[in-house]
Amino acid sequence: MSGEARATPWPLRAWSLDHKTIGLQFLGASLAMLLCGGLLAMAVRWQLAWPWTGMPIVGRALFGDTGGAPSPEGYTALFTMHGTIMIFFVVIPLLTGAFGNYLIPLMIGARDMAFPRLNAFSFWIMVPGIACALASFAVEGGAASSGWTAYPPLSTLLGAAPGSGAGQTLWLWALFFSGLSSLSGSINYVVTIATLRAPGLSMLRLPLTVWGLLVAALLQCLALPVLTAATVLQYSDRLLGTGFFSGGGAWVNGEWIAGAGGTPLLWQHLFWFYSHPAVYVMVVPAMGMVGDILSVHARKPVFGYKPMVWAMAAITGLGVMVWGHHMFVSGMSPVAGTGFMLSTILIALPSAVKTFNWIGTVWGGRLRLNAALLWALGFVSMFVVGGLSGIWMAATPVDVHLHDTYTVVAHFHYIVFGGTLFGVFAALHHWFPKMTGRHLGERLGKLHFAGTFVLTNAVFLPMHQAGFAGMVRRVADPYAHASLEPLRELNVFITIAALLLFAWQAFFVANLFLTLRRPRSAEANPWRAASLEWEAPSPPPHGNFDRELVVVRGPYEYGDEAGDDDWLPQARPRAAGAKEARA
Amino acid sequence: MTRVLACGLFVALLVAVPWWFAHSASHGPWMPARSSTYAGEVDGLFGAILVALAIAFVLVMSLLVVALWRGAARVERARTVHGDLRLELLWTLAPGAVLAWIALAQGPIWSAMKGDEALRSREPLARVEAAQFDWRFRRAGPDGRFDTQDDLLETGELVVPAGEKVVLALRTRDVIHGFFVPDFRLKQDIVPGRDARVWFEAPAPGRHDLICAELCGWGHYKMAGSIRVVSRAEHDAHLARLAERWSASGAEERP
Amino acid sequence: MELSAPRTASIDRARLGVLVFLATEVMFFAGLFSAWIVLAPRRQAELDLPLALAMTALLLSSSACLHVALAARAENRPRSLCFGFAALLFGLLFLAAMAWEWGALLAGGSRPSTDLWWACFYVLTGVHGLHVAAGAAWIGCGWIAQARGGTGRALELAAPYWHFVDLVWLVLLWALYFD
Ligand code: HEA
Ligand code: HEA
Ligand code: CUA
Ligand SMILES: [Cu+2]
Repeated sequence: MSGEARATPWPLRAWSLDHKTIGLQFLGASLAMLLCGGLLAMAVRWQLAWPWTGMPIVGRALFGDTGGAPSPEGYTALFTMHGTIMIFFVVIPLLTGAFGNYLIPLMIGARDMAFPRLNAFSFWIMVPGIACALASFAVEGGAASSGWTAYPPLSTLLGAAPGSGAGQTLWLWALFFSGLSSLSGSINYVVTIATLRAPGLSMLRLPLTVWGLLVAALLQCLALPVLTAATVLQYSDRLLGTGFFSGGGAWVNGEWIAGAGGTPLLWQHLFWFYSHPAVYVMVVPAMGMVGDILSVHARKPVFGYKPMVWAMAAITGLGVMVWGHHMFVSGMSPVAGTGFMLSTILIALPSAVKTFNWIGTVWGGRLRLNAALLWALGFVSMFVVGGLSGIWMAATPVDVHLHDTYTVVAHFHYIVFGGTLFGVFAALHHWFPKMTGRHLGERLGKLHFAGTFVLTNAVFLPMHQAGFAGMVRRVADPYAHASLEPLRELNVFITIAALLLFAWQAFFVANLFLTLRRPRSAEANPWRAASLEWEAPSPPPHGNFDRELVVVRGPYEYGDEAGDDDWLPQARPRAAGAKEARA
Repeated sequence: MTRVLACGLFVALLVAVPWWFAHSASHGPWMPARSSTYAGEVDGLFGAILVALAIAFVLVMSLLVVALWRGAARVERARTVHGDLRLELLWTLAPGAVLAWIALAQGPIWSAMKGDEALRSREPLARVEAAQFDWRFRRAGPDGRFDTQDDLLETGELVVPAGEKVVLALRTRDVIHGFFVPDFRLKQDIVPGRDARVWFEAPAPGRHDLICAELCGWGHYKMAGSIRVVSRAEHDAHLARLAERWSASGAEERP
Repeated sequence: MELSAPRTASIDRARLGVLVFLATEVMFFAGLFSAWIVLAPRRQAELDLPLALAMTALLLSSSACLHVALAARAENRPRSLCFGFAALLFGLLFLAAMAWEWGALLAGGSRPSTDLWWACFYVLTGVHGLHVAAGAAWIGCGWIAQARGGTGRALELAAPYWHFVDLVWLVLLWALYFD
């Protein structure tokens, strides 16, 4: 099928059909975008601490003519693109693109994805999306500036905000391409997991990582098309003057622009119908990977495997019923508000189940205190902080005060940065030997973890208070409001911590590149882990496995009852003679 | 060594988070003044949830730290346990109970904020007209009807009487804005094409920031206003003064 | 060696892929239709109902032809190619008719910006038209492949999609022409 790929060695293969190469391409691209998104975040922080002062690097690059000081509309573009890039071109491609591609076939004992060509397409179609996102900074009026939520009519009235011109158009295209990428990927994952599992690998023997990725893929298939439909409608509002989202017209710069009388709330419903499930797409795969990593390095089976699977299923099901909790103050009927409050409260339960089962997994384990485990435990604790603050916002009367304040910003950064990205770092430490045949440095890894752990909290914990005090989001200069002036010091503190946090990532970059320059040393199964991917050589050749495997047990056979060593591999070679091939 | 350091990190978190929040619980230095009748109830709920969350957090993190501390030193193999149904039930039902309580506790406050009869029975004291990027307030004037010749207009500051339920009609002239008065714990998006109504009752005189909470363009950050709460008498006097200044100005200059 | 050899031989992977894809398509059109449902615009203008019915006939018979073509292919009869071609032809005719209708309507002064109803009309029929075009291309390729002596597998995979596009059209017919 993908014969041409086997011919050339992988660094040369730009167009490859091998799921591992495509996974690494996703990894590289999204790490590069993480750098961009991070730089934008630093610009945001700079402005919030020292408004309208010239900022280095990013400022020089984007606002050269003012000596690096952002304009008000420049700031709105900063956080809009920060959010857009981080969600659509960092977190989602990292989890589903990079790890989804790399791990799914290996963990189910398949030789590749069901549709290798579709798989390659899903990467390459993301590239024009990235191009649109980055290019939008250069166009007339600057990048999109109506927030990553792109609420109309701000995003559809071209006169309402400079970025609502060409920038917003490019934003819509960027979303369209990233949508195609995710959709083609997700379809591929669903079919692959449904049809290519090794003999004996029943659904309830799948590692949680695969479950997490499957759940994410299903959520994408269900919810993403709705966002695509919404972008089509917004595009036609802007291009053809249809008024789906215009609320009957507006005064823009002194002139009356009539609208056909649609409603802006329609966009909000469609957008959140996707974007709430999207937040679970951004965490459930990480949850799965963390579950596996905890189990391997605690030398103990995942606690409550079935409840974990059910919890993920529940999150998928409920995930498409809670979107309204982003719209409590939008003017929806109080009854609807109550309904969404209930579903949101309900969806906290599966997360609770998962949290306690993670604890149950490490409880009484024989822990290996390595970077992978530390990052995984970091994920758990950060997810708990972020998740709990979500409960505040689920309580409607409290959310009335907290909505669109920095408490919300704190809530989701704890989960997407403290949670998801910690999970990604854990996964990198855990699977890097498999991906490259090299171990990421342990000392650098632990150093990276310790600093990032402390600084993440230094950045995002104080943001809760800023929110309580009434500091709203998306303001270029909070101190324009008398009552927010006292928060200046707090914001300076947050910003300094954020700059340090960014700088601290240098340890990761260093670790990455130092490791890649070392010779390949990792054996096939350095962690003595049970799941299938460790049956393949590190890194696996094209076609992954050098022998046919038969799965004989679940993926988590660790501990005193698991063989004379403390673990039992999930599979054994099919051919009877090939037994001694392992060891 | 790593064992001590690692546990130290997680213990630090275990201590830092509750400490920081206790600092801000209800009326700490960070939560704004409670200047509306329901602000107290909202903060009460906020505080109660804070306690529940704190307990959950401390519980989870302590378990994690203990598991880490003991597991890192453990030499003999872990026991092969795949789960425990009783535990699963426990940690599904216990949080379930807490969550159910939260769901019930917030109900009355929500309906009080959203369903108060004043919203239906009372005429709006004024109509808030949000526009990029300032707050305008329109009074019905003597004839008690909006959008007529005798309407009274103010910009930036709205004067309201203390000690009575005030109903406001919210309207936007362009994009979505957010009517946010932190001291009142009151926030309402103003969506084009639909008038929203809010109510509040400020017991005591005072001045309160009015902040735009919904991104509305480059000037979103500076869309500031204020609500001045005064005695009924002062409020009426203020209206009279407005009316004078208004009739003084020629009809043609009126919007 | 076939790299991704199906382990669960019973399931046809490609077909399953198409079905999952159709599920996403259902959600996509649901999203678009939600605009029509929520905004519930009333129709002012008159539409050319006979034309619409003719278009319906075209699309349905196209589907039918594809079905027959596949059935014939199963017991490899030469009919298969003829009916495959007919399916393609009817699809293209539908597009032509739709283009003509749009032309007439636009000439008549009804634009997407005229009112919400027309907005829904143009966006819904437009997006559906794009799907028909894509389907026609798909069938075209499949037909050529089969004519060249290929298996015509592509045609077989196109079938569920093609029937789905019919279904969407029937909903459109009911929503836009018969409301
Ligand atoms: C990966 C991302 C992610 C995840 C997993 C979540 C998870 C949750 N989110 Fe979050 N959320 C976002 C990302 C995420 N969110 C983003 C990006 C936004 C802002 C979008 C924007 O406006 O830009 C947002 C906004 C947001 C809002 C809207 C706020 C506003 O704008 O007014 C609300 C309101 O209900 C909410 C609630 C929740 C809840 C209840 C959960 C729950 O799923 C959390 C469940 C987890 C726990 C509860 C912790 C673990 C459980 C225990 C330790 C057991 C004990 C617990 C109890 C007894 C309570 N979120
Ligand atoms: C989803 C992921 C994500 C991530 C990871 C982050 C990370 C960060 N975010 Fe962001 N943020 C959002 C998603 C995210 N954010 C969203 C959705 C919004 C809302 C936007 C809107 O309102 O529309 C937002 C808004 C937002 C705001 C509010 C702006 C406003 O409302 O005015 C702020 C303010 O402090 C902020 C700060 C930060 C900071 C300091 C980080 C730090 O954690 C960043 C630290 C730096 C890095 C992580 C980069 C380091 C680089 C590497 C490790 C890569 C190495 C490179 C190679 C090897 C090639 N973010
Ligand atoms: Cu008005 Cu923000
Ligand atoms: Cu949500």
